[in-house]
Amino acid sequence: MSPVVLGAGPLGIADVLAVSRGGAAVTLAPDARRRLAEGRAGLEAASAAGRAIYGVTTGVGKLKDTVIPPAERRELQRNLVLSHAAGVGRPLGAAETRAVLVVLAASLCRGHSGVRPVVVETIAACLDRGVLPVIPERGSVGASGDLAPLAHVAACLIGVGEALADGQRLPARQALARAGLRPLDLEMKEGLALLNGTHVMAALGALAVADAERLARLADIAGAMSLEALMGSDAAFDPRVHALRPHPGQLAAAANLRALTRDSAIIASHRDCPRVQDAYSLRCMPQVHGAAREAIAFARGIVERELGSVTDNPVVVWEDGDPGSAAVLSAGNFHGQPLALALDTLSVGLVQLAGISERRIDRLVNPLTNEGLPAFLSPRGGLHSGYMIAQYVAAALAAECRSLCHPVSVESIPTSGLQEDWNSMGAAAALKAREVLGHGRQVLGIELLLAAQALDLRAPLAGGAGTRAAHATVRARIPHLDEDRLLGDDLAAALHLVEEGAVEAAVEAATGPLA
Amino acid sequence: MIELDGFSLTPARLRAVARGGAKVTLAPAAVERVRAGEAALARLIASGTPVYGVTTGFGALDREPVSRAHRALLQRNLLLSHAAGVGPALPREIVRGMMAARANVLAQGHPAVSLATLEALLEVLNRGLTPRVPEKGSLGACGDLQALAHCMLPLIGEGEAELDGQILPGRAALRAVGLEPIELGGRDGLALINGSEQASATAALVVDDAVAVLTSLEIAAACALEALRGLDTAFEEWIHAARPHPGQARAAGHLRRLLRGSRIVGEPRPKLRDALSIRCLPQVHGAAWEALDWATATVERELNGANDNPLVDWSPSRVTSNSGNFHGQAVAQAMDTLAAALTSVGVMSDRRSARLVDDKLSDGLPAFLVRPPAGQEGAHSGFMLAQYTSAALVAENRLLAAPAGIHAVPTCANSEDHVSMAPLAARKARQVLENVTLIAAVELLLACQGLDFRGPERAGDGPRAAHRLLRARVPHWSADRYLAPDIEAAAALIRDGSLVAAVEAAVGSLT
Repeated sequence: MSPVVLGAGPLGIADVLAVSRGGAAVTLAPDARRRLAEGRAGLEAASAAGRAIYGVTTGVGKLKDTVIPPAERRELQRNLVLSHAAGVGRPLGAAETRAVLVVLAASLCRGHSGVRPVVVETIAACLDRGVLPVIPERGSVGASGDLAPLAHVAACLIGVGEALADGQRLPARQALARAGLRPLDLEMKEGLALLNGTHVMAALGALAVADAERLARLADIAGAMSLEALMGSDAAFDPRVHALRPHPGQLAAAANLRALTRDSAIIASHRDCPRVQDAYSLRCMPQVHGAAREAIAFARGIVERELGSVTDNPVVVWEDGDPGSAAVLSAGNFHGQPLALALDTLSVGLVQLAGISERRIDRLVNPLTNEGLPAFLSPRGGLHSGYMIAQYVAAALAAECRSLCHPVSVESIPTSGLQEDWNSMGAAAALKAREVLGHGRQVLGIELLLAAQALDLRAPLAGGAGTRAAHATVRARIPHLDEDRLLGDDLAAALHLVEEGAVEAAVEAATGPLA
Repeated sequence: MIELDGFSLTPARLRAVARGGAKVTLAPAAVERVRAGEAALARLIASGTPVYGVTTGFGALDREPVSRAHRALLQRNLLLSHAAGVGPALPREIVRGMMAARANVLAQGHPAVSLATLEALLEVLNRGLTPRVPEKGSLGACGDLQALAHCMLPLIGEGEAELDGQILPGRAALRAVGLEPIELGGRDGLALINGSEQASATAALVVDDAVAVLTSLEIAAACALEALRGLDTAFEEWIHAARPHPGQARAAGHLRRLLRGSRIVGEPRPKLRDALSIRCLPQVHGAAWEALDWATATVERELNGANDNPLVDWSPSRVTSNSGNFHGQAVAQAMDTLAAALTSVGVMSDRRSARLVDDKLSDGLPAFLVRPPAGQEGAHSGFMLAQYTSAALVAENRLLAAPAGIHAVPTCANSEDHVSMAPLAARKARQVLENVTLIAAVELLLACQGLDFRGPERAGDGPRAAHRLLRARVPHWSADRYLAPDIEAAAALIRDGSLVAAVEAAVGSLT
């Protein structure tokens, strides 16, 4: 995979994915090196001129009015890292940690944080050589930035705390040494610059948006399979209907559903049946899946802007090429509220996908609603319970998702002696969205599994171009259920299929790219 | 050795098995009851009485007859097809708790499990096998089917189990401890899984642990009160006799004993009243004690209640297929209430922590509780971020306090159209408790640092003992250092009970 070049333009969600999950390395654009050098020179000039600079010549938070004499300014940076490394809970995963590192590095590369190039180079080297700070996932209030978790990143860079190297948890100093890296000696402002940003919530948000977009496509795929298996109609996806209410997400979902069900022999077999309307969970897929897509698009817009942002404070600004013109401005770009709101909204949108899928799952197993299929999709019901309990699992996960979509962005609690009196809780919103996504993937996996079983029972009639491909992919991994077997294994296999994206790939090979 | 008789399992005895590794055995009377239930079921089946889940399919498949030749297969199939759990594995202690709790319920005889199957379950538990049980999927009606199915699969040589840190296939795990897979008869499969034990075992550990956490939080609060130079007048006995909620009286009594001997609280000063996060400790902690007592009573009943269906009786022999003792709503509500109560005491603790670090509110303590060497002011942030961590946990708890028990989703083709979500409620309560443990750890850390500036020897009996214990592990903060290990060290003192033990040695029992 080609490296991601930092400083050549705004970082995108695709770049975060390449580094975090694809293992891509990062390099610095020549322009980034120039901007880092100018920003640093500007900061040094402003400091030499004797101006008070928050967190450089003063303490932080409510200690902002305490003056730090020049001799102690380096020690201040180290102290900031140590005393802010107060994270608790489980560590972030390796891919998540890589995402945090690249988002942090990209923000620093803009030069406005005033760090030396070596700081960014050390982060890049950690990514390259697989030294990943152990970052406890809880403790950030989402302003001023994700202080506690980011301080654990900074601690690792200076050789304190722990790091993951080759899957092993080691003292940070040892992990750095093994990788041939020296701990950073932080200079003026560098400790604050490393920990004062929204990089944790932005990184987790970027991964969540990408995962959510895949989940929305998968909802269309699984939903189309269920629709066919339940003898539903494709009339509700007619483009003339959606032109009358052109929310982009709705249009995209409807187009996907048309492509998926194209040439469906099952739908053709009952085209003139007397039933005029299907249940909402089938008929309103474009509207409901579409609304989820709107929420995801909203989150994507905000996350993408955040990835291209400098979320530090204070920031160094100067006329290009003239560090002598630098001013150091105290402001509040670290405040995570935009992301917190967007990620709460993302969770609410994702609950639509999981919730409506659970209702389709119920229709598939329920002999009252499944249009003549055997109860619980078991050809031998009674002695065998078939997929009865799979719907229970979907119900449990859908219920939990509903609990998880209570917003956390409204839960501000003041910190730092009332100086920081409105916090965003954006990191908590990101962690919650991650949890909802995990549940959503499993629920959709269950729908895929059950819809495939139901389609088996419609043979010899076959589904549409897309659903045929999806069905074949499921069946290549998971056999038809005839007699009861260990059901958890089927559910785990279905989740695995969803996670690796095999179903979408097979469908797109048959239908062309989905929206 | 813990003897199970079906009627006297307590959270503390369950903890001894689940966490402490105590072995279990059946009481002689229970052996007789199990034999009586097994025999009654056999008589009923022989007489042609239809029995749900034995002579019929499960759930909405109850109109499908199951022939005699296939009845053993049905019991086996129920374990396999109900083992549909997802997500990470439950902690070992909860799985062990589930096995002990289910065995206790089966020991009543009414579930009509065969004695051989029950004895095999006890052997699995006693020989240290821990089945791998995914934490998600169970709905709390009819029972925690998925979790229990995974839990019981190793008995028949399926599924997976952990032994000495290694995950083994069920059959290999059995062999490794000298056991063979069993054949299920009668209604053994359904009897093993049709209960509320994921919720009740989790809840039992939560209510048991909550006593020490709530007590620790009172100790931390007493330390904070003294560090903030609070008054002790709000805890006088007559006040609480005038509004006699028992929990309130208990909390006020704890605070009086903790603060006994203090030379700080009696100092003359102009103020008449403290902020509510100090003054109303008895009222808010009291409400939490009430919730905990109520939850504990509910959980104790659940541990000793026949949460199964159908149930069998003997003399005369009878069976009901149309009952619902597996429905976990009681435990769901108890856990939802406890989660809300624990969230509230955590919110209050965070407000005291915020006062401790705020030099406008802390009556002369240094900002963020750090007094750095001369000339280095501002270069040390002290405990600033510890309160941020507490705030983040409070926000998370507020989310987790949203009730689970109202989230019924219909299942089983609307035959099971109202479920309790008790396992979710219990898991949530456990997470809230863990977060409150950390919130209390932050307060303890900050309050002891505050006491350093007041002279800890002048504090009351309780705070003095707490301060001494903490300082043996965590030194005074005079210059910034890596903060996370201090929080973890304070939390460890709460988790392992040493904080409560050290303070009780000074003030007498607090439980």
